[in-house]
Amino acid sequence: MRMQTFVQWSLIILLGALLFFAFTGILVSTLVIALTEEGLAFLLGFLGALVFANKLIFGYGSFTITAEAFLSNKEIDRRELAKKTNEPQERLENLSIPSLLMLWLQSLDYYKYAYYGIFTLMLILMLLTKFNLLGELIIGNYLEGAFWGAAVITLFVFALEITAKYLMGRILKEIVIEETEVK
Amino acid sequence: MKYFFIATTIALAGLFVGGGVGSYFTSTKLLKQFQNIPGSPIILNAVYDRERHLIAYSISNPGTVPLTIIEKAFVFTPGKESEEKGYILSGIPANITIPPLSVAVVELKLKEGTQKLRFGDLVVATFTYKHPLSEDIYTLVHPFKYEAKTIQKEEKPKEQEKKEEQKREGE
Repeated sequence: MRMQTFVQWSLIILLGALLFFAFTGILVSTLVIALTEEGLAFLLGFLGALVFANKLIFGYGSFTITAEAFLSNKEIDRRELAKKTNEPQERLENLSIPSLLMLWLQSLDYYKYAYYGIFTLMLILMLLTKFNLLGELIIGNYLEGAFWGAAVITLFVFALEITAKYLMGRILKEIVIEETEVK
Repeated sequence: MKYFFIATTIALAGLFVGGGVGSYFTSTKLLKQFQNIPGSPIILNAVYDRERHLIAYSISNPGTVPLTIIEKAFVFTPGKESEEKGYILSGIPANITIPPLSVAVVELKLKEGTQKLRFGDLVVATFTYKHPLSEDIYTLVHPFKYEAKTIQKEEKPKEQEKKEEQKREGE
């Protein structure tokens, strides 16, 4: 958790510094000479997506680790898990660990939808410029660079998300259903 | 089985993203390279304008950099039918810019007071041009032989020409 907040803040500071330099025109002119304009667009898209995807990457990543540990019968700290669900303590008192994991996964859905929404919007804008509705030559090329930068981040989010969902499905199938059958 | 399906989906998505990123950078680099290649001009056809006593060349610029024709010159060699003597005209100034990927018409005036072209006459034109990427000067040489093929459409003024010549000889 501490690691995630550290990365999150350093990313926000990096993006803020980048925007500050962009508005004052110091960094952009040097980067345009050093990189290509397309490389700069890629970098901006990559960083901008990373700021919003960071919560998802860390969320799904640590969920995957916890779920793997639970499936291999290792001990899991219940309090730590309860904190991550963002639910009031009173609600979680009588809940089992699989249901806590489920709540944790559900709490990440808001961030997931916001992120995929922004990414889809970028995709639509990029495709519109490819139809030459917004002037392909002027902005479309750079918009495509920013889109591909965001696509790299989206790949990681997507991969971690479907892995987490797969593990949740396994937990439901192997543990919850078997336990109820035994009873 | 499901685990295999998920791993394959992730790998395929990775392939698509990697391919997209790679092709994006490659294509933009390639486009920039192409945008800076000067093409060498091509003379599509040359037509002799009998009334104005000039040859009109349509020159195409297939490159993506504008070309500027700075000088024209030509060598006139009479054929068997002509009574004119051969002559050279050089250093005719011109300032014609051919925009990228387009065709321009360049007129080459023959020497004033000379006889109209006859079959078999040869005009070898030299165009000097340059492009903005370097200071070098290039030349383009085009031989133009006045033959029956090239004037099939303009056969009517033949008699007029004879009259004109007779007048001139009379003077």
